[in-house]
Amino acid sequence: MLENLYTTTRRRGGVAKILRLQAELDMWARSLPGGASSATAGDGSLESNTANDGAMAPTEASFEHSFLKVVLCIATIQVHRPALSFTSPDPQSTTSLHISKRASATLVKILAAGLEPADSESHLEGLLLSLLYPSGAHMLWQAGLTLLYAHWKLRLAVQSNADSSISSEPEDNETVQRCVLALRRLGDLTAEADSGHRLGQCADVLDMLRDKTFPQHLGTDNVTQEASAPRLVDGWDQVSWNVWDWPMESVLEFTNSMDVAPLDFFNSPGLT
Amino acid sequence: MSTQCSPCVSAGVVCIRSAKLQRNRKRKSFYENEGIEQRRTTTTSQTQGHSPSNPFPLQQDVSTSGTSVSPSNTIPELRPASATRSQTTGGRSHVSASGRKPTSEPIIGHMGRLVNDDQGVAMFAGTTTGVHFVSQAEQQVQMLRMNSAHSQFPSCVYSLHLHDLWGYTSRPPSDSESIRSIVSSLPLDAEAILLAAIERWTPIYPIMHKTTTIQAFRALVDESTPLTGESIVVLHQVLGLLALGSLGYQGHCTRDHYHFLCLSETHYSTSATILDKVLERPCLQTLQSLEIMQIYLQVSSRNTMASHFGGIATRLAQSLGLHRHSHRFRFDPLETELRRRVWWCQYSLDTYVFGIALDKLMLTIKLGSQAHTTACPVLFGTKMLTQTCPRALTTIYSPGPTLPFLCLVKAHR
Repeated sequence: MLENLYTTTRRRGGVAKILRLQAELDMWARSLPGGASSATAGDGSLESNTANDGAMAPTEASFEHSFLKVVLCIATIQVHRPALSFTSPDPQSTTSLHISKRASATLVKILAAGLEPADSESHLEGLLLSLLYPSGAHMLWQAGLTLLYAHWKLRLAVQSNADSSISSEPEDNETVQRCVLALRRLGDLTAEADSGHRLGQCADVLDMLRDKTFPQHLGTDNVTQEASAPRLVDGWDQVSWNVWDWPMESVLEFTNSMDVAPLDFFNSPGLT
Repeated sequence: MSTQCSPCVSAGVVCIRSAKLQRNRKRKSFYENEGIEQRRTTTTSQTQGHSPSNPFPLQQDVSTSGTSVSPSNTIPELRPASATRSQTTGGRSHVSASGRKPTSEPIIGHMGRLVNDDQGVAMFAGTTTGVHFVSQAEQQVQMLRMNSAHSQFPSCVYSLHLHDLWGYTSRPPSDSESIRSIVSSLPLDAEAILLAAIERWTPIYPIMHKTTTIQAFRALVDESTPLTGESIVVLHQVLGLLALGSLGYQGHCTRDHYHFLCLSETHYSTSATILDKVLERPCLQTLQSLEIMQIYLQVSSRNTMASHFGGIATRLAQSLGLHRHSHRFRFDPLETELRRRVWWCQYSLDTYVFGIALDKLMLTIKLGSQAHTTACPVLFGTKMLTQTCPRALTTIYSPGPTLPFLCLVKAHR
């Protein structure tokens, strides 16, 4: 299902592929038991019914039910993430960003609820939810990063008057905090010094970014919020989605030629 | 401006490169085709046979020339111009890779990268792992200057999907005694058998690099040399080569029949006892070992086992990123060539599964002919190819023993 979207030879037609895949996901979600479709509404609306969904610990919802919801969240993220790498601005990018953000928030809530202190049985199922494919520690961390990334992009869009919608910061701040705590908790449960350090380091990065993204003294004063929010650097394209503007420095440069595009990048014959 | 940058020269447009370095700007992107398109329309008389619908003839040249590797084909055009772009203001109105078409259509620009696993081995992380998204986020952090003290993400965030949370793979190996025991039972002429086996199979399956293999073997048998994590893999390679090199020898067999596998089976049986340890160390050497095993399993008519080993090997080859063009990564000349050869050997081995079981065909159908971009291996031998040998120097050597193998590769392509 995702093969057409993640192909390396047919990079065009992404919008149509995403819409088709989202429609198939919606159909599949409707067939799930327990109304799991509320986790990720594919219509792009910000209205969400996830307030109670993600808070249910595995003992309250069955393990299988929670697992299916995790799969749905991750599938939704995988479907919409390519839109974030569009080389040119497109309305679908913003729509996908919203959907990815919502799915990531739901994913964090489900996994975090499973890792919070409870009896040993809950720990077991909570760990299984976090470790079984397609989930993983990397998905938990990236879900938290997606929430922050969405805020950076959407806040910049607000500043450029390109998009006036922005999600509630306190709720997202709290979700990212739960993500950080879940990562630390996962490190504690795995009980290996190196693993705990690695996960702890990842959690630290996320926590630092959260602190930079969400002002500590959130108030109703928009001026205060805007003054603390990340600002545009001079000369930077406000809605630059161009993926080929690589960062100045990255650990990826050690083994990768960051300036080289894949040869198949230009082999796309056209719309498929 | 005294000189023009190579992309603009090749595209036949006026170069607007600025020699002024702006450290805080983004690195100049070679693929700013919008700017090139605009400049091309003002200098149409200077174009040299490049179609307007194809503003990147260099990339196509590279892609089509990938089928025949020439040592002089250094493809410098893929490297970005040294100077940064001259204009990075918000006034830029066209920042779109799809601007070359009259109707703007976004292109999915994600790309996989190599990341190091817990054992320090570079593994290919496809875009589904999120590595591209993380790099995008890192880019945003740097652009927004959110954290001036640490502008880079730590490497752990990129390889979290590979990280062993329970620490099993990071524990020190406990197989030293078994390795020493097996090494002590190797035949006295093992090195000669290894050399003969490598020379015998290189023409159609150039899996091993002779010099490197012999050096590793000598280090393995030298008791004064401490064992490393790769020692178990080297031993498995040696046992596999001994099995192939002992075909047709009687060994201790007393049966009255044609002795084909009699001696080889002893080495194969020994290798099977350490297979699980070998599989715990995914690396290029393990893949080489699996390919050797596949060949032996084929000649010993263990077809199902050969197919299963092929599945493991194919997945490992993709995990190592062998299916991607070498220009994407930074490996020394020797490893680059070895990666190509090992990839195409596995491709061949997987293709031949077609004759055994159609439904088990993995690479040639699943990946398709366009989903892997690996270049052909070189024609000449690797005797003088070292880790530091520049590519240009390899032009002086005559064709090596891999010509038959290259014929097979071209047939696959």
